[in-house]
Amino acid sequence: MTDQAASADTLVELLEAQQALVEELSLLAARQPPLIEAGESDGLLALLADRQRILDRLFGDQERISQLAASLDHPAGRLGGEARARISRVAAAISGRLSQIVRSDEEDQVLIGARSQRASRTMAKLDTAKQAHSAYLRSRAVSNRFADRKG
Amino acid sequence: MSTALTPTSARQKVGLEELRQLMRSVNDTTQQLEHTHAALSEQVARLQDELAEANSQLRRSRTLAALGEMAAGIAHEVRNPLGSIGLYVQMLAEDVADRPEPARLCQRIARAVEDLDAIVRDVLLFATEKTFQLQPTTAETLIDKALESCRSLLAEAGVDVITAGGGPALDLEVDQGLIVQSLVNVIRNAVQAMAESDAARRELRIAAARQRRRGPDGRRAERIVIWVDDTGPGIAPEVLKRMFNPFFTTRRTGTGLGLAIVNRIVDAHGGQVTVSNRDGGGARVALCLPPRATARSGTPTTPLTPSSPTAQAGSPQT
Repeated sequence: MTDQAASADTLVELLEAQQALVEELSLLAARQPPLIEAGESDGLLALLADRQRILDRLFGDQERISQLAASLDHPAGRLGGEARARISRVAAAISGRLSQIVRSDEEDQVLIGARSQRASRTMAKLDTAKQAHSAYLRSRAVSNRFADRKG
Repeated sequence: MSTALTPTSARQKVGLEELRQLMRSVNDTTQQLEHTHAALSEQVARLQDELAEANSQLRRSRTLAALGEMAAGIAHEVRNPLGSIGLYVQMLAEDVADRPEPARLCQRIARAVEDLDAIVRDVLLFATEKTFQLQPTTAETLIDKALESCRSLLAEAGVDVITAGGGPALDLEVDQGLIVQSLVNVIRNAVQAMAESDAARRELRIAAARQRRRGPDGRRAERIVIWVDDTGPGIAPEVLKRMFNPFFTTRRTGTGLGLAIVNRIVDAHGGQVTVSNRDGGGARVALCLPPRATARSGTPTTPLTPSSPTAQAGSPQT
């Protein structure tokens, strides 16, 4: 086996490992919207921590992959068509899935923004609730409004 | 040998180009994911804080509303028998006017009834819905009026007053009487806190400034902040969370309504009260109010309702 072929095999292995990680990321990303909708921020943070661990592993192999990918530039003809096809297939799958996760993350950011606005509105409504609560009390005519006994 | 590509090598060349492009795409998308992941994490952390704050405010609001309702109910019930006791003791005092000892006892009962009546009045004042009249004024005017009201108190307690002034006018649109009353309550608490401490220096600093602050809805907005600093003992952390609760007091006398009333008034103006311990010792109470342009408008009379303050660190000053 030539060096080039060995590199191609290693690259494919690494890319397949990356693909498995990306699939895991994708599964986690799919669990985000219901958590956001339910306001389960603790669950979301735990999920994002899991994602971060996977991302760390993903980034861990990036440099090696870049090096191997660069070595493909060498005598081009030596890389077999089958190896090229495998690398291309896996890389395309990874890229596609990653784009999907990025899009879903962007949608989730919009969802979180809406959830946050709902929380703000709830806080603003507290005033109304308090007014309703005290509405049964009759107004009293007093001269020293809000002065307690000590002033 | 010719350098021209054969049909086979041309296909391979194109294939490699595609491959390189795909690898770049993987790399780029991974970077993109890194960014969206970081943004998402940050946003979720922020959401968590906001939800925690909303829940906490909701709990506090419910507690305060329930407390106010209960206290008002009790106060109403107590007031009638108290009135009767006052009336009977007055009649009794007339009957025993020629006997010094019973007359003295009657006087003591009458004083106790007056004290109780004052407490009941405070409770009803706190729990009863009120209205406020908005009018244009400035922070400086409010400070001057509050200090004027406290002049004798401050002099008797030997407190030095330091005010900062000279800057541009800080325009507000508030119920002047109520905000002055709030400042008076805060100043009174500060004076009492300093009287309880052994500090050689009794100093009250009162100033105002225009600042950007985070409001109850979590958004940053411009506020006119009037703060009162004292050289008292500061506020113990366990007191901090409760100091705005009605009827909470660390003193032997007092109804514990002073700061609760301040908080209610400021909240009704769309503002916030914050309390913190100062680095050099003592406490700071800050009244954050919307500036004139953005002050809560609407009908001239707006109901005041119990509210949830922001205690950041804290001195037993209720």
